[in-house]
Amino acid sequence: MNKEKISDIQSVKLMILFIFGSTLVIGTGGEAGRDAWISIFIAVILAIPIYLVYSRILSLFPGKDLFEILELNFGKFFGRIISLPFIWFAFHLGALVLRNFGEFISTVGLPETPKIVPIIIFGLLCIWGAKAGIETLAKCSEYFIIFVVFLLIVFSFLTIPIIDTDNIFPVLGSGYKEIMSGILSAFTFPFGEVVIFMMIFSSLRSKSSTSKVFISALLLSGVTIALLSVRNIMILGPDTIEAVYFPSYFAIGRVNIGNFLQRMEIAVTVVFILSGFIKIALCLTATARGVARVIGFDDYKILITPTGLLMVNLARNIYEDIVEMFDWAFKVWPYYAFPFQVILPVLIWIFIELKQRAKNKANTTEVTIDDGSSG
Amino acid sequence: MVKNNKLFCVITMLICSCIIFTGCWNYREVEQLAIASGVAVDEKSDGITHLTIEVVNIGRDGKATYEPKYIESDGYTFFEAARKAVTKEGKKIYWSHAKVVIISEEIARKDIAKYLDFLFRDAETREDIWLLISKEKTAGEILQSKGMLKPIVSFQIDDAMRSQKSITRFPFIQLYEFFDRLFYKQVAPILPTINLVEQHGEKSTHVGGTAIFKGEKLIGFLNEEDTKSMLWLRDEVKGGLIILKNAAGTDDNVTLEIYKSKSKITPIVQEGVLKMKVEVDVDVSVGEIMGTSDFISSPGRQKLKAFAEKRVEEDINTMYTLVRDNYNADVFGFGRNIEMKMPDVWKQIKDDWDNFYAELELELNVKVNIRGSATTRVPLKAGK
Repeated sequence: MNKEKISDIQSVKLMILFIFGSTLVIGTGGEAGRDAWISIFIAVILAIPIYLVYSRILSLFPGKDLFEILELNFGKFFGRIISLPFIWFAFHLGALVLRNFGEFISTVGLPETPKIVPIIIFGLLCIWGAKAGIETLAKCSEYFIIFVVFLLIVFSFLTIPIIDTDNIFPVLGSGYKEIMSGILSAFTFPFGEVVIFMMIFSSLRSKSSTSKVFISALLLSGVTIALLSVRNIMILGPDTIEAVYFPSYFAIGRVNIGNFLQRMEIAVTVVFILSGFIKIALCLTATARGVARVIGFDDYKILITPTGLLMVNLARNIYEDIVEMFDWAFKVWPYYAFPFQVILPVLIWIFIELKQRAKNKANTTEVTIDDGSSG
Repeated sequence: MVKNNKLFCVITMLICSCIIFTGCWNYREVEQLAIASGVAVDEKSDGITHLTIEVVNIGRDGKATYEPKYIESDGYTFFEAARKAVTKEGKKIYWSHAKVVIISEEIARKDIAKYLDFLFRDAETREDIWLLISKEKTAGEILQSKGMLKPIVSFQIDDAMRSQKSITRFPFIQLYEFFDRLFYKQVAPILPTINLVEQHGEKSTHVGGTAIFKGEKLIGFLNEEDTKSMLWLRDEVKGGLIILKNAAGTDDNVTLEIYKSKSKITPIVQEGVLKMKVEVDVDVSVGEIMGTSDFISSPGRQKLKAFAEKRVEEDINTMYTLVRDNYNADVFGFGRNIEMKMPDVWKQIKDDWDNFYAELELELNVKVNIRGSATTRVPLKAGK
């Protein structure tokens, strides 16, 4: 059924762009004030075991995605039941990112254009991307990441004249409660969202290195996000970061080098569009795959267009306005996303491990033969 | 046939695109915009906001000429007044190139934040605008004065602000820095002030001095001399002059030109009392000696150095006492400094900072290094 293959390095790039997604524009860990970057670092470290769980589940069944694994282990009926929350999560996440994009464009760029216009246009683009398949997206990401990294590095250097290092001091002055909630917020957005990759990573070319892919993508993107958070705190200060919707956009907007290099916020938009496209397209792919498996279709691609259009609708109707969106993203999301990102995967993992072990005990020889034939 | 079909499809799509996708949803042509270069905010007696918007009028006859036009507009809110200006000019005001916002003293004394909300919130206004407090009766008259070198007054103020480094007689604060400070409760925000001076019989703008805020309310002004002393305590002196009247007991006035200055500010606890330790390290050169005294030889330089150090120290101390006792406003950001360097101490005194600051002592140590005497080795005088 699935003949698409992507290499390890492509998956790493795909995952990095996915994690960047809307994070670079909205920012994360804001609860911790000037210690947001510490929260992000700790969230990265805490994400490592979870990522190992994800990759362990995948590497036990090479060439299969989460939905297939669930069916294999829980039986056809229960497997499909357990798939449902994951499908919803992928669908919902895609819609949220789409809405972020719409709000961003309409807030900073085109206030008089109805929000639905950028959402529809971007949604159609993502449908196209997802329909082209994960292989194409992976190749896209190889190309996109050059731009993203280039822009991030160049524009971070340009901000050097306006950074005020005093802003991050005192380190650890925010209090442990704030830092803890910052960790939760940074963990669930964006690092935990990588659970989506369990639903699409049947396409990995090599089997043994799943964990390497997950961990290296996590470290690279995590360190970048933390450093950018330091940059934003140094430029804007924690109070302004809390006051504005899109901190990175404001931070870059303050760059003014000799009255010549100025008004370069658009770079932030470019980064958002490139990485947001990958993120939404992957959410769409994951949703379509899940739906296809649950209703027993062979080809998930015919489901992408309807799913995508539904996603556009959900994105349009999910919030009243931008205030509600940010309230939700910061106050509800961490608690809402945690079960999908940690509790369910860990339970599934424990179940699968126990089952494997029982199987191993019951019939050692059979398993070794199995391994040989599947390899 | 197949090929023709393809061609047909492509051409149809192209035509459709031409019709549907050209132009933007809310496009704006440049000649439909009135480009605002600055705005002055006043309040009429009945609580109505009165805006004076300076608009750049670009000449259409081949040569690029530009001249200012002034639109006055009233409204219950800033936004209303700004929008109403459209009815007078017939064009929509475009804010992205605005350089200057002048706020009248009256408004600033009541609540400046009220009038700045629009500028902070709106997507079209930029954050690197200069914000100044008018010391004239209305802010509008400053904008409507005559520019000396540039016809557009806002652009002239912009130039004056950018030359701050060599003047050091007003603080260098852009809109966003003011916002950043406004958010932080224990720091008193400051802004430069602007007034009109007469030159060749015409009124012209002059930037100098400081307006001190406590929260969102203006509470007082500092003159230009005190402003420089204040900038020393904020480590914001990057250039400018030190003028020594009757230097070192002589009748001669001496000018020192500042090349480099660094103020190191640290909170210290001495015998159980928290103090601010300020070490100012200034590199200067003798820029002018109005007289015949010898300040160039080694002993003369020593004398001048000691005198300059004492003078700067006195100036800073006088200004500090004035600001602390009269206004009780922490314009120097000492509170923030303590938070940075002694977070535990700060947590205890944070809520009572105003009272604490009222008794905060300064331990000042000024070091003036005379690095040279410009191009000459001797004072200019008639030969014997």
